[in-house]
Amino acid sequence: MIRMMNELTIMGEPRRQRILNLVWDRELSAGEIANDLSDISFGAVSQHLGILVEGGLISVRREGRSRIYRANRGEMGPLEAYLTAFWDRKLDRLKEQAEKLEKKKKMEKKDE
Amino acid sequence: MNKIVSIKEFQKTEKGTFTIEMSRFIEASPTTIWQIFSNKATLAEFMECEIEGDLEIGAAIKFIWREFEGDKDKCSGINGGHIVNMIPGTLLSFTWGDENPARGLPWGSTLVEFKIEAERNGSRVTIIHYDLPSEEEAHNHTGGWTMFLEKNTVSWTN
Repeated sequence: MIRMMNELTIMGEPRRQRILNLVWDRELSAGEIANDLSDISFGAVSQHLGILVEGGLISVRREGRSRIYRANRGEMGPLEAYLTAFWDRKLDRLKEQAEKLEKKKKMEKKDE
Repeated sequence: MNKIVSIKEFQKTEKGTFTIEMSRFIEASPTTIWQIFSNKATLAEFMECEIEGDLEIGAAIKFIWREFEGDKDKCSGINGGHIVNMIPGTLLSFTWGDENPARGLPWGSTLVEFKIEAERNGSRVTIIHYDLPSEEEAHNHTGGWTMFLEKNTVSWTN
């Protein structure tokens, strides 16, 4: 039986969206990805990683005994999957940046 | 613990274009968020790219993405358009497209809004991306996204 799977189908699964966000602009090992998705088994994480690699959304390379993953940003599409992952990642980034800046401002105010 | 709330929508509008909307609660004041949006260096840090252009209504803006290939730093794409609106503490909006239309969105053809609202002890930041073409329209204009879809279709035998 021939089975077809496109990017939209691949990206319809929230765990795979999360994995894509995690490896959007950095390389992570399978173990590091599994640590973030601690509510599912390592086997389930491996399965999701396999689907993302097969779909061309992420690439994998070996480093010693580890497998290292990274998003294939140039291959992203269609639009919804690409932009959803893109803006989601930016909101994560903003949260980190703004909360750090807020803490710094509060510390400075305290010192005055 | 700071709870992260995310709302994501992908809606078709009456004119046949699509909108993506998503938001986060951030434990920082609207003033702090605006400080990031209204300064070129901090906006670039947030967007994780280089920014070319002035942050003024009507000014052209370019988001330049760079990637390392081995030890070489190369430009991997340029997005942008012009600044549409800047309301301190409330809204930054700009048009958005790809400098290379073969990649999908013509230059400045869509609209992006970063909205800030005060909420509890912080802010809710919402990103709304309007005027996104349907798969069919994208294909008619550029062949872009449909091309990607076909290119990335995976087939295997069970």
